[in-house]
Amino acid sequence: MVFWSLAIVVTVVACAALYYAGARRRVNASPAVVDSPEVQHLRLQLKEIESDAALGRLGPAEAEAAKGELARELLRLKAGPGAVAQGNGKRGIVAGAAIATALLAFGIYGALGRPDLPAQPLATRTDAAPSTLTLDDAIARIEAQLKQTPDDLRGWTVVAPAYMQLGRFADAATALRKVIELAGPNADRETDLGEAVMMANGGDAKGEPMELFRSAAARDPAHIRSRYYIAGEATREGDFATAKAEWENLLKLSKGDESWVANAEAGLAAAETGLNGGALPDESAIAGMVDGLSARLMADGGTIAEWTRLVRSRLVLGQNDLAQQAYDLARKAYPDAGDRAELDVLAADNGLVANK
Amino acid sequence: MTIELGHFALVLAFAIAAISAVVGLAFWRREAVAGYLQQAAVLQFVLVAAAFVALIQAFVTSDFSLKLAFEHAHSTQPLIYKITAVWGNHEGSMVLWVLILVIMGAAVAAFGRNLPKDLMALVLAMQSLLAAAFIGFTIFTSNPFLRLSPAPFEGKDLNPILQDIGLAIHPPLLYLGYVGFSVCFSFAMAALISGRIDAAWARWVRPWTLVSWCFLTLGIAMGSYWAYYELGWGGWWFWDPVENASFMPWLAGTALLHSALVMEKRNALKIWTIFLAIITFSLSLLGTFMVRSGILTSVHTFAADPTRGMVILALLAAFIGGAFSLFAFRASSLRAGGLFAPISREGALILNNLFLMAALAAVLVGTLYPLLLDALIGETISVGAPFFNLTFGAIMAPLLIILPFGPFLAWKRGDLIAVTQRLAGAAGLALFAAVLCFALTGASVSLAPLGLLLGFWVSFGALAELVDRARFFRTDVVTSLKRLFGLPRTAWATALAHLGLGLSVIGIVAASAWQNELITIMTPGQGVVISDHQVTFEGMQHVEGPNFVSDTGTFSIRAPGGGVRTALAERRIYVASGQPTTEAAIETYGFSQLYLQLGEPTPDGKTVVRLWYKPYVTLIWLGCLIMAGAGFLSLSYRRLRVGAPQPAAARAAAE
Repeated sequence: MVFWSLAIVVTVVACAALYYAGARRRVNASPAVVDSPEVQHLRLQLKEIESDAALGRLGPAEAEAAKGELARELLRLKAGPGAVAQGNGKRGIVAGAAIATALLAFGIYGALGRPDLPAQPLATRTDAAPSTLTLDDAIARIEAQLKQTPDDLRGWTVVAPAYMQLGRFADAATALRKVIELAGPNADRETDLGEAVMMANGGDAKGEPMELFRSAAARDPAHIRSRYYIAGEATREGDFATAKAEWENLLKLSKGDESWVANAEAGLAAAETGLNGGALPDESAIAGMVDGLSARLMADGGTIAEWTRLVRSRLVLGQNDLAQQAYDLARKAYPDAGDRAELDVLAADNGLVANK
Repeated sequence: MTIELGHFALVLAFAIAAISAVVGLAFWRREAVAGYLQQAAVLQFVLVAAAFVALIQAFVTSDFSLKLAFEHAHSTQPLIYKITAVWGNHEGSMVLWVLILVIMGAAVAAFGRNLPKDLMALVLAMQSLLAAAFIGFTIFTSNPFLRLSPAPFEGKDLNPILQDIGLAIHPPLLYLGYVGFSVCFSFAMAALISGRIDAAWARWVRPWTLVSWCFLTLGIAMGSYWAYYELGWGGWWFWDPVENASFMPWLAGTALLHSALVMEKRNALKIWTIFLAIITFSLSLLGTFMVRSGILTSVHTFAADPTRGMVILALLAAFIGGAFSLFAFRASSLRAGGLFAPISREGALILNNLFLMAALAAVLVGTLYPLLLDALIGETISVGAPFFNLTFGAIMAPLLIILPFGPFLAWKRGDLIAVTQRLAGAAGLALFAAVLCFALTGASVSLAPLGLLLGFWVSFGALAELVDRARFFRTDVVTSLKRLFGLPRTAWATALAHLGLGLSVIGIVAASAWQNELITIMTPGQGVVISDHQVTFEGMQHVEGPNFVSDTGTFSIRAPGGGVRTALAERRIYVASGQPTTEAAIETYGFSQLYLQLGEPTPDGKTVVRLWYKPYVTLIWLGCLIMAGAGFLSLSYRRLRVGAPQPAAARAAAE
């Protein structure tokens, strides 16, 4: 409303100014020809001729000829086109033109303009609603700020998980190193960095990630995430004695109802089987476990982590059709892409299609 | 809401211009219409200025709900580049073009109280027609006020090459020149429509021509210097079609300027003046078309959009075709001015016009022929610097030879032999200077000595006119000095403008003939010698700018005259676009420059470095500055402006 009021005021002022400029009466509408600027101009030209003649820039005969030309010019001017037409009905023309102007302006603006859109300068949008802010935009903005203030701990802390979510693990590792550099190491930060490096290496925890996890576990003996990775890696490597001890330690730290407990118990069982010289569960047993998980998730639903595990298992078993099916269901269960970043990356890496 | 108000203002300006054009052309004989059109011209200016301010406001506050700001701005840009980014793109630069057009229209309305009402009405009607056409083009094919919803969080940044102070100076100056000629065009159209060229016409065309010509000169010189230091090729003129597009109106405008001067003073060359006014502005429009249609690719081409190209081509055809048709029908009914013999000041100026037109034709052919060939039979050929240097040079050389004679010739009937005798001193001095230069530097066989001779000849010839008018060597020094400083400013302006041209010629010849170039790979601590300058590479640093990161090479330069300077050359990467640019290090010694540019770093930590030593290169632009300054000096001379105080007139007239 304010916009339209202002637009109407501007238009009315402009059209009124046009109308009065055209319609007002003029005093001395046709000035005497003798004093007109043209005559004064000719007089100056005459002076120029005389000064040029005096300087030798114009011969005497030529100066006379030039004066003759000037005189003829003056005569022609006096006989000239006469007064300008003072036609009647001038108000009609002017009024019509002013009205046409207003109509044309509103017609075109009505077709092209977006009066409904407010201004959105950056300063008022920094705290914009998250729904209008895509992750890419947010990261780009934080990156730009970090370029200017590279010692901004909060910026690095915020951007690191965003990188993890987008699958930019190397960037996440860089950011987390910066966090440790600025804030000093602790168990959580070292584990975060370990996770990032591990993901950047394609899930391989050997080397730097393991060192970080061990360092974190040494800093905080009750630190669960780092111990979980250590136990898992030991199991994978076949160091079942260490693995058994680690899993048992981990289970001692639990209250019994955490989501990871089931996995830890499964790990402990695997380690014990290994210690007793038994083979790890064979493929059909694994397939059976996976089918069980699948049935449970389809019937009761589950966490995104479980869906991701299901899809990964299907892929490992080479059951690509079933993996696709599980992926479709997971997408249905978690429609917000922000929740399933890891799953989407996994799916994209293995050629699964994001069906609508 | 500011953005939408700006949009509305631009639309309203279009409506006012369109209706004014119709009313003005239909009823120009009625006095009431002149008042209406004056008011309309002022309103167009106010409204387009408001629209422009709205755009600036959106860019400065990083309001990316404006599509244009999203595409060409970034929130981390320094403030100055946020403002210049407004016209660093197609849509915004059209708004700047139109803004200058309506400024010119408003200036005619404001300063033109003494104009006959019907002439005023016709001129303003033509200006309104141009404004309506180009505001319409802007609104309907390249609307700068398009919005985005929801607004993106960050903009895409301005082309890094354009993130330079040059963008704040070059386009506004160039447009003032280009578009200023629209007033001359409108006056020519008015004369053809009304069928008479009266004294007021002549008095009015000269200042507009001068103003436009001065700004165009400055705009081209600034563009040339910008390309020289930013593009990193060390060249200052490439005969690029876009450069030619601005150079052609300059050539025509120079001819127009000389014709308008004659016409104001002697009522002669009227038809020439009208013809040149049409040609000059037509070439400005052609330049706009070539740059904006996307048929050329260069830093000036912001977007290749066939629709825009077709619309501009249609506008171009309508205005140029209409103007020349009108000229063909009406020119014969115009009275020619005073009579004159072939050898006279007027005759010399016609010769000047002919040479400038021939040079213009050579540039026009060289620019358009490859484009037409490409469009018609799809064959791509390149007409490069050798063609232009040869044809343009061959036409300009005789013009430069006869140039000093012009100001010495008398009006109506001149005495060539007497003038030659008066110029003998200047000729001898020029020859001596040229020979001396080559004796000192060791000449090789080339055209350079002749070029240098021409430059000296034009410069000394220009000064000789002042010496002659002050009667040095013919009377005592005190009287001569008094006469010298009593000379009218127009005499000074003529001499200075021609001197500026001579200096530019000297700069061009010297910088081309004696330029030294060295391409080398340097490690930190290593030194090279170019033209007696000892250049040492001190090392590279990684520097972070506001919206770019840069590898900055530090060099120390020991000049032959002693004194050590530190120079910084950069290779930048702009963060938002990832685009690289190079920033050359340029050190000025007297009139000469040492130009230093960083190339690719090699894997083993060395860096490619290109060095040029360019003797007297700054004379090229200095000459242009003097030319433009001379134009402004002539403009400040109020003798021929009716109703103005005339302090100098009495003394000058008495001589």
